[in-house]
Amino acid sequence: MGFMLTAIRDGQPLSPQDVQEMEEDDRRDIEEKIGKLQQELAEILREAPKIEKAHRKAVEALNAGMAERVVSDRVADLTETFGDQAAIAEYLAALRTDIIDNAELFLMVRAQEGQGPFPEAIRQHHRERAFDRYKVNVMVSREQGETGAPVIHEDLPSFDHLTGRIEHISEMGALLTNFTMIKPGALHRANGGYLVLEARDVLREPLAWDALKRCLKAGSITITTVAERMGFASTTQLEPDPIPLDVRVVLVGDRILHALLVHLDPDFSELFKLQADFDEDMDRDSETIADYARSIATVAQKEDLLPIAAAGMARLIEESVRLADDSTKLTLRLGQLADILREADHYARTDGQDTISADEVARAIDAQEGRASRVRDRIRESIERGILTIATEGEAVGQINGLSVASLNGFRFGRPSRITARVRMGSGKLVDIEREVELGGPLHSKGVMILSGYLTASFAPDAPFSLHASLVFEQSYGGIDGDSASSAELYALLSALAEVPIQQGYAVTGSVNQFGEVQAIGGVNEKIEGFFATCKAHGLTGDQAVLIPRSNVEHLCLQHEVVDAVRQGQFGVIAVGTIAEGIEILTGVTAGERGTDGTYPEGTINARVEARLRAFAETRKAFVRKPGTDDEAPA
Amino acid sequence: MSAATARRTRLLLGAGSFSDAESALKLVELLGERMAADLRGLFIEAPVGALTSRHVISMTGQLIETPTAEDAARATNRDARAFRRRLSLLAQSRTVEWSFEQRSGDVATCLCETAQDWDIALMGSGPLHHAPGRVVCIAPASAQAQELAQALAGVLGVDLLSLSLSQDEGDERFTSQTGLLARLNRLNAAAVVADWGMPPLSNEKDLRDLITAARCPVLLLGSRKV
Repeated sequence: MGFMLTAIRDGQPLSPQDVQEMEEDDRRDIEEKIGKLQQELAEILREAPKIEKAHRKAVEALNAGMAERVVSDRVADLTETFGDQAAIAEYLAALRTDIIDNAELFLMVRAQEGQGPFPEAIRQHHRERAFDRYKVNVMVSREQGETGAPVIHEDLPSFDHLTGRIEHISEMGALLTNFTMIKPGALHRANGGYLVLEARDVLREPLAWDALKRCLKAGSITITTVAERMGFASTTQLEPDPIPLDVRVVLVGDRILHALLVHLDPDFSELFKLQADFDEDMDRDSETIADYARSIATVAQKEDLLPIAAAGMARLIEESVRLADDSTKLTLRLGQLADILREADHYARTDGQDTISADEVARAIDAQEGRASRVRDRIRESIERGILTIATEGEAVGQINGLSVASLNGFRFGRPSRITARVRMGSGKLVDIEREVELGGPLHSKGVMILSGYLTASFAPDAPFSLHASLVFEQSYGGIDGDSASSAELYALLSALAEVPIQQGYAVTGSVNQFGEVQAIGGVNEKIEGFFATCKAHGLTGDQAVLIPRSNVEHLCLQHEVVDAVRQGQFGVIAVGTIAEGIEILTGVTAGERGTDGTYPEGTINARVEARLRAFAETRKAFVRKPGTDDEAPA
Repeated sequence: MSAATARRTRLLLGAGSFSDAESALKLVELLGERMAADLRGLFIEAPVGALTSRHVISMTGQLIETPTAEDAARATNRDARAFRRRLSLLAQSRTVEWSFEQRSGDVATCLCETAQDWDIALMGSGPLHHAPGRVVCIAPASAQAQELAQALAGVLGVDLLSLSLSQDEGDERFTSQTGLLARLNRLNAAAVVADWGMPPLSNEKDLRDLITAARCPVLLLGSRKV
């Protein structure tokens, strides 16, 4: 309520009755004194707030002055060290001001000295939460002596991992955070250098691609949360200042992904201007082989594998050539070789070897093949048991062994297929049965149509093309594509037209053009090996061989078993450049060249074919002239 | 069950106004578990007959008419009810027993008459200004009083000052009770902790002088000896 003044006698306040009983003068004297004291007290109380304020300010100024002297000394050391960095100098100035303004924090700690369970010398006051405001949150640091621009690989390029995140701690059911819980992302770590990302991984992570583009466009990294980005968070969040960004981002991906990004994302070409299309193989020569061997040895060293013996390395390089599908190249898919190497290392260690030899490498390759070859083995088994009919001996008209390559989960193998051709007089139609039943792809159909072009241009050009022929892959129940069997189909067709049998010990691969030239195909090694396996199962006769395009010779890198069989004369690989060469080998009959008189030599394949076609034309001509028939030619 | 838990500390809270009561209750709250005690509120109203001046000076320096006896009685009862309500809320939050009594008379006299049944007596006193003062411990003091004064200084975040009539201890030492009380009267104290039965506190007059000089909450330990 306030203060009331009263007269005191012998230490006791006078009651109103005591006052009334006083002499008039004494009473007036007391009342005057009380009145005067009341005025004084009222004035003092009115001044009290001002005095209090002045007192508080004086104390604050005193504290600030003392704090400033102490703080300035400490901060001066840091300023001397880091003052040339404008941002740090600015921070240190702000730090100094803040410490002075909050000097009581430090005084409180001093007041608590000696109260802890441990000696004061080892007490770590800076760990108290009150001092969190003075912590420095080191986002990115470099190791002592580390030079050069940073190169960062981010294996999990999620939104948070790219642009950083703000962590929280749970306290009494509430999620709390502060600036020390701001964590860097890959962009922060790579700032000033290079960031290498798998494009597919970035695209797979929600919002990551968008965040990466946003940072690159803005030239700064803004840390936010997915919830905030999606507009789900309504609570107050930290909003760290954007950090200037100077980084080169390297996106690694396959060609299809690159093409899709260029096509579908207009920002992509703007942000990623440099394209580097890496080859999947490299040229093979003595210099590159040496470099290649060093690379493989480095892989072995990094993975702590056994040293690779020279023969083991040679076997690996041989496998590299096979993977490249070209004897003049080495594959750059080192991951596949590393897999073989690891498995070979396991076998070598199990056998107590000190090095990885060719045997372990071969064993690893065979084991890999064995694990993946279930379908191939079933097909070979079917051929052996006669369920799939493939002849490797004898001869037959209009029948030939074609070769195809099947690919299943990355494992490729060759298999022979019986191709047959039947001919008769007709209106110039070449029926591709595979196409008719929609099992043949467009490339296969193209190959068959080329046959028609070859036949019409090469034989009886002055007579109507009066052939009706059908071509089929026997016992083929799946799709067929590619034109690598077109030469085989042509051989079968020529055999059928000439009525000359083809030796069934041969298999053929290669595409053909309208001039009868045999052209290169893919998977030549697998095709040869596939037919070799069939012949081996039926029994090698020494008369069996595969006809391949001459231009495929440099792609040969056959399994040792095949090479050995060829060396021993048990099997053959024959390169041909034209259909004429091929048909002579397959039938043992000369193909024949058109002479100056415009005819093929008697008895040759070509003469027989032309005679057959002319006969068809004559028959057809006579047939259509027969009155009353549906095929009568118009006048 | 130990003897300590079988009978809780009993704390008597004395106040002449709600402002005084607030200061006492705040200390009890700040000391938390250390003050887990059964509570008794003692509201001591000054006798109406003692109001002899025609004016009261408010805390802001305004001269206002002395309230009539009826107004004064109403204001007193309002303060008493507020004190009782705050006490009950505090007791409920701590699940301790509580009681309340309203008396009329001299503060020291009333405290002396009541304090024998209670372990600690705390006489509240409303703040006169906002400047934080120190916790004063009157020495010689029992270990319990020293510990309590230390804890109080800790929770208030202020320094602890020991005023002593003994020449062997204390931050400031005095040879007479008058000197000690005069020094206390000039101090800006946040609270005073003293032991009943130890100098300078041995009778009702000593208690009155101490409360008058302190002008802040006074914690009186060993009040059963009163």
